[in-house]
Amino acid sequence: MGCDDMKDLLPLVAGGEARDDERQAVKDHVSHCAPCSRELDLFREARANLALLREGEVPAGTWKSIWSNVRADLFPPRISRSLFFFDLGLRYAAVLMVGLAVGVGSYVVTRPARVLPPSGGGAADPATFVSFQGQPAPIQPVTSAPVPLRAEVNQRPKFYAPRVKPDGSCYLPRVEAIPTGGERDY
Amino acid sequence: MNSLVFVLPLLASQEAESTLQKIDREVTSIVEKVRPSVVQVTSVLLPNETLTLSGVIYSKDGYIVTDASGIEPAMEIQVVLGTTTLKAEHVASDRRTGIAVLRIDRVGLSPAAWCEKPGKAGAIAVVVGTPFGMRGGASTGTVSGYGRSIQVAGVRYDNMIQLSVPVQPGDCGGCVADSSGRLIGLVHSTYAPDPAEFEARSILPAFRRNPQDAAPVAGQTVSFGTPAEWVRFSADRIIKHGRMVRGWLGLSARPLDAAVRAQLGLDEGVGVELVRIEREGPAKTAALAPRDILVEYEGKPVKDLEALQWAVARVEEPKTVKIVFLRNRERREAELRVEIDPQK
Repeated sequence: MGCDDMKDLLPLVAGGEARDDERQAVKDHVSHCAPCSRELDLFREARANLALLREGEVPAGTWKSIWSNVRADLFPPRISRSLFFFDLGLRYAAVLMVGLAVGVGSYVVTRPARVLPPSGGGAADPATFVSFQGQPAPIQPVTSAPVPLRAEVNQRPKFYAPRVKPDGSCYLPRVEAIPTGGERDY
Repeated sequence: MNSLVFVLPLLASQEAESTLQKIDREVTSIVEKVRPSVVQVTSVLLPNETLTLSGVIYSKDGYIVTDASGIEPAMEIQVVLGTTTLKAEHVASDRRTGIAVLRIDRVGLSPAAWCEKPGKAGAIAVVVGTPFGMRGGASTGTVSGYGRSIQVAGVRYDNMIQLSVPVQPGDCGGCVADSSGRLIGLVHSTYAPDPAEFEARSILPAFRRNPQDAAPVAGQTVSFGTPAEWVRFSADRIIKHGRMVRGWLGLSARPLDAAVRAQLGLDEGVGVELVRIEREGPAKTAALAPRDILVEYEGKPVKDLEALQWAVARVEEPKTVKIVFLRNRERREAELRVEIDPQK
């Protein structure tokens, strides 16, 4: 048997796990092979050192630390029914709050123009309203106090799309697109 | 002396007429002149379903021109002339211009006067049609431009007149008259945003920053008409042949960019760029390809897109013409056979 065959047997012999014939073969080989003999000695030395380690004490708290880490995996906590519904309710409430916030925000930005009444508390001057519905508001000299800045910012004209449904029996095609580029067909 | 008593008040009254009154008088006279030539066309789609549009009397012997798309699906066509409803025959339509010719069994009609030459942008335009089924309804505005291209129901129409005249459903096929009461076009279509589209945009003010961005998109301000010269061309051909006969090349072209023209060493205004070749057509047979630059047609330099359209459209019998084009800066000559438009 050569050195390559010995590499597998050396740790077994050092650990005392080899059969008798294997042990005899290793013994015969190391008697004339110095490298394998050195390697066998190293294996025996390592085993002796490992045996010494077994005799040491485990540091305090080691087992507790290991157990606390693996316990959640081994025994997952049971969620109570009430907790489950509470959690679900919280989620729905969060979605509702976001929706309300978007709706209120959109309304505030797009609401019709409003002019704050003068400081006297009376009705707003109709001449300062912007109206695009029906007859225009009568133009009157503004005698009220200066309009607060916020009102000017929010003074956005509101346009309404005419909800006219044309008579279906009368025909007028609608242009889909106005091509650019001046292309012509021949 | 006695005559002066009658003449002087008359002169005084004439001097007192304001400009607005003069305009008022002129416009009303145009409407009165045009009205007898405009008819209501009823397209019977189903026994209980009709489509109302307008038409213009083309000739004394019963030919009427109107919009093709409104009568194509009809199982029966009726023309309301005064108080009489007559059954009309659909002679033929031109797919390119969207013009249809009807014929009624009536002679001695009063055809519209035709304007032979296109006017200028900004000229007064008067539309007489059948808005919402109300016969003889008139509206005024101006001609906003000529030579527009539009797309309606997937079909492109070229050389259209852009109008700032409000037109309503039922006006389609109505008369667009100039300040002399002559027909300059037929009402074709309108450009108005879809109300649903407007509704979709109405949430956008939240993101708009400039007040002008909030300008209304609803409201119709742009309408289009088929120009008189093309209406006349289509109508004459249809009446002559009983079907639409016009030349066809099977290609699309666009004006050449000035920089490209200078790069190619072409004269001012010469050359059009081919942008699309139909799968089956004369241009495909002649091995023309997109990006070719057509510089000569029948021995004449190609300068104007509409002039080329006229040159092609006027062909009544298939014929072969010589063309010169540039491909990869290389000048090539070819023979191109102008076929009759299959109207597909």
